[in-house]
Amino acid sequence: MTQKINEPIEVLVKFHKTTIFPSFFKWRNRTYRVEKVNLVHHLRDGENKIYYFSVSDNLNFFRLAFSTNDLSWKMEELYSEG
Amino acid sequence: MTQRVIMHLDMNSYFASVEQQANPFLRGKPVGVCAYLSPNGTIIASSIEAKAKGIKTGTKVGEALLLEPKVVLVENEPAKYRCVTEKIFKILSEYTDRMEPYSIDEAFMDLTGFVKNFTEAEKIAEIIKQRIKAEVGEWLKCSVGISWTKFLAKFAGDIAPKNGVLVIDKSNLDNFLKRDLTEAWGVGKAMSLRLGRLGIRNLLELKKYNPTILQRHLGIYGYQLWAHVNGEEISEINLETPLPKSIGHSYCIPQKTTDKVYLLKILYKLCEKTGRRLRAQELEAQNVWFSCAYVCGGGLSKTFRSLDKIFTTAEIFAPLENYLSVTEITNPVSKLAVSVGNLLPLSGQQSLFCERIKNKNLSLAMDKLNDRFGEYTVTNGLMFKSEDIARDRVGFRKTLTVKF
Repeated sequence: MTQKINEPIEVLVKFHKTTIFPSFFKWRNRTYRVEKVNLVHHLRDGENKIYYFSVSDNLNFFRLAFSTNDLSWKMEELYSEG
Repeated sequence: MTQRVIMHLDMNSYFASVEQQANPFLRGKPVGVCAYLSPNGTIIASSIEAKAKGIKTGTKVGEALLLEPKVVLVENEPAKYRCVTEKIFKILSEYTDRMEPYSIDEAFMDLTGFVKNFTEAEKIAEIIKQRIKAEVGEWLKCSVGISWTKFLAKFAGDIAPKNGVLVIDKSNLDNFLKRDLTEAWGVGKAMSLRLGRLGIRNLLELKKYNPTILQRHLGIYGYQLWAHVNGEEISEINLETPLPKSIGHSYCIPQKTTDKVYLLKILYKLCEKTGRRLRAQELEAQNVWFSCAYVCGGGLSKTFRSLDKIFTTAEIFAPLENYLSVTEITNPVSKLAVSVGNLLPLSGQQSLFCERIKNKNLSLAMDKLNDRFGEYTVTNGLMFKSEDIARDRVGFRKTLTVKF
């Protein structure tokens, strides 16, 4: 089931050549380890470029958004089975 | 002589596969990508698993839930699909300088001179498939057709097994043509009936038919069809983005109503979206088309021709507003559509009327502001509180705006 979250998160990011991978993030006082980055896409909102990271751990899918305008991270969406 | 090699690549169940790529928990499940999630919303793409349950493109959300109550319905996200398409087309463009993006999930590649024969092209196809999996997403699959003309390459791609590669050469062409006429690109039910009246029942019979008689009955299109199935190239790879024939937007209204104030608000937004695309492509239009569908069937439809070139949103909207001010809306409206046609490159022609130049410049200035600070930062008051109306939707349009 998908839940819209849209809350700020803290993210630990790994830089690799020209790409970046969120490795861990902290949301509601809990740390999640990203097992896989499934897809990265971006969207322009005026001059702001937002990168969306569709990531998952063993139980959940998360959609993380990184705004290049203010360098902030948000968790936009959460999908978990059941 | 160099062997002519054309490759056609078509992504399988594209939007649904992208959604399954993004969210691995959707893999193996029936997924329907919808324009809207309301019961009357339409499925615009379904996963292989959903197709197996009878949920196809065009199925209504309500019907899909009846066919498979466990279907996962997701609202379409154009930016995501365009982004993935950009990555795929970037890979394709590394194998030839003659690549034609045909739609958001299809492309032609002219590999003539880059490979010696079809066997080498087949190897390239396998490499491309692997690279898409490795560099874009492991869940993304495509069918590839290879032949010596664009038509036959697309025909091969269309009949190729899902996630497979099919080569049509001169030795196996007749065998593959023993198929229904409608399996060929450009042959619909109506054309199939017309061909049937000439005694042509499959593509092989079309190939063997006398082209002169075919042209006499069906005009130049009849000859073109004959040439296509006979492997004669009449449509080269198109390297330049063709000028669109029209630009437009439509919207299925959630609140079925005859309220003109509400309908004009939606119409203005559709005009603004249309105008933004028209101006971004540096085009002008010569006519505006409008349609309004009633819930009970029927509706209104009208084309407005203009002596002056149409460029600003206000110029698109004005004839519609005038028309609706004197036209009665007799039934609740379910859908509104606006488009501009007879498009020409922006001429830069000066107007005798200062007001027109002022409005044109104002429009461009507003576009600049919206480009910089985000869509609808500055809008006409008519669009107040219209954020949730007619949001971005993906089209299978031939003219693509993806960059690669």
